[in-house]
Amino acid sequence: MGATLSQKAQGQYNSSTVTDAPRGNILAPDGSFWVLRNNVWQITANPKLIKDSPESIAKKISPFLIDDPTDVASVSAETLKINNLVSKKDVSWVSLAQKVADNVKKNIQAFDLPGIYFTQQEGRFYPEASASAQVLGFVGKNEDGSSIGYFGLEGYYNLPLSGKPGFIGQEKDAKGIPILLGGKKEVTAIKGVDLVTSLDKRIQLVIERKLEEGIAKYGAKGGEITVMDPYTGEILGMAGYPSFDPAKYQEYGDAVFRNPVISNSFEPGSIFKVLVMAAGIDSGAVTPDTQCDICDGPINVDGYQIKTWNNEYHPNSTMTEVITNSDNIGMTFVGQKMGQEIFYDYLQRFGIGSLTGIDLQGESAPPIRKKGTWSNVDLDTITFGQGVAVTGIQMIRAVSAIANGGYLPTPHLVTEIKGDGWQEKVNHLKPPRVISQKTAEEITQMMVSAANVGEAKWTKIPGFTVAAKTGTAQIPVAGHYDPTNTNHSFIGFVPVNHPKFIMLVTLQSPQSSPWAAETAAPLWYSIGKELFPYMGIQPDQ
Amino acid sequence: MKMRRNKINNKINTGFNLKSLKGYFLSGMCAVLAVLSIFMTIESATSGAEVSEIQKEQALLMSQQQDLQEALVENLSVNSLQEKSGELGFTKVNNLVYVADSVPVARLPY
Repeated sequence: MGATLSQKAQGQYNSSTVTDAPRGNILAPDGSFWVLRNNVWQITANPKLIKDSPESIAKKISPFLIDDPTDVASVSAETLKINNLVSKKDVSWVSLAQKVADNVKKNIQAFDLPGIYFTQQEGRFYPEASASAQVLGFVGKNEDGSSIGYFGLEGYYNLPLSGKPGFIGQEKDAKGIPILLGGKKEVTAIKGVDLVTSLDKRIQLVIERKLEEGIAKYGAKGGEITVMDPYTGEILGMAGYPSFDPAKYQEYGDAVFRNPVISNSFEPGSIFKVLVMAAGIDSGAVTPDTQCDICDGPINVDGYQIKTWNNEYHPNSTMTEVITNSDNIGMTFVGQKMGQEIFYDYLQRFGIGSLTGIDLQGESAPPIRKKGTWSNVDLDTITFGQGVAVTGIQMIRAVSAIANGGYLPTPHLVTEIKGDGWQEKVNHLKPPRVISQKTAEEITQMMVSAANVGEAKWTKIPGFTVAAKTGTAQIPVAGHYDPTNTNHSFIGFVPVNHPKFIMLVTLQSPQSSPWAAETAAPLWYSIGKELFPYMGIQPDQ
Repeated sequence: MKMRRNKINNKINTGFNLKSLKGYFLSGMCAVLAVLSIFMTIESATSGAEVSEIQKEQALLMSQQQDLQEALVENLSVNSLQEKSGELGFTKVNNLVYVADSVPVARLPY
């Protein structure tokens, strides 16, 4: 009896509180915020302690809980909902609203309504609204009701961002005032770290705006744009469409949460040719001046006929002309010269078929067919980017090796981690060399030629030398190619002698034209026109 | 004989005085400790209330700091700055003119 009473007494004066570990923020390279932790509130009610009528409370509160208080229908619906909740006299706790902003809480608090309570919650504030949503991810709840990051940076860095909650055990008197002479146990909460990213706000906002405009202009179903530093692998901008608002993620379907740049695969088409040509030259199978002796017409392989994209043929083309003309027959020539073994090894070296290791949750890597299982037609079609699937991030990473002189970088976003009173740079492994400097320079010149005299030459920006390649790829549907739709891509880097950025633009099924030279290419250049002055890129012609 | 009796009486008196002195001293000490204990209890209770007040104030200040930071971040967001610059009449440069070092005049864009 005495022990029980003692236990009850202890329960009354011993207070234990779990102290929250604030979630870390996500910052841009200039120190501004992509995501800021903020205080939000849960509004609850004890219907048994309410003094006013449920109708009166509902009418007072509801206008503050909807986005547009002038929308009469929404206000009525919210009033009805609150009224129903507060009318439940048989319960002692009902939740009226979650994640309510501080100013809303203050407005409701001003009514001084007995039986209405406010509990602090952790929220995320996005100063740039829905910008870069698929890169940032969002914070939701797990099955235990705890906050957890999903997708993007929030998902990948959930643990360091979350920190570790603390604990304070203390004796308190009847009024809840701490008794200083009593015992105290304290475990300090560890705040989640802040992530400094390479994601540049200006670049990000430009590419998101341009992507949306481009999709509308060319009638595409979706699209993606990635801007990267080809030397370091730092992602400067990454946009996918359609996207979502991370502050209201509950209102969207699961499909938009996936970042298409890292999760969706596509057959790259002709942009893949630069990798195949790099493999051919680096392995010694061909040189830029090697002439194609099968380029005078279509070829038949395993019962299939392979043609050029425009059904025009260029006998004895050099390898530079093969890239400039985006010649499928010329590419099969390179593939046949290399052979399956060497070709396969180079694809692996370029990271095709493997995860890039980007620090975003949700990356996928479409596999490539196993070595030794390729038929002749497989080898030939893969040389011009059909019959092989890649993600956007794999593609831009591989072409970066051409831009930077032969090294395969690891794409990443987080450059620095900051805690209370300390900060540390994130070190990445030295990128491995995958092709020689000479090969990289030769392919760069071929890409310059493709940009200057290829089918997209009409859209280039005068005065600036760009190394680029278009890609129009058929879309596989249930084992066949879609006869009406194509995917369009354009990849390029600038300045060619020491690139400040490499950018990949991909549009899904544009309807305005069947060719990337008329959709993805002009979109790339229209973005370039805004990025060149911002990044200090001067005309060189 | 008389002298010897006086000596014994003196001894008894001195012993009695010492005992009562010790008693007074101990009582005094107890009283001081009791007062100190009461004083400490009052003091610690008051300090507990003060600590509680300071903790509340700290929480309030931190909340206000958070609000101010949020307002600052919101006002300095690129979206917000773009909107304000538009309202103030700033427009984006459409045609840039690059001036070459060797050419003394501006080159018009194509």
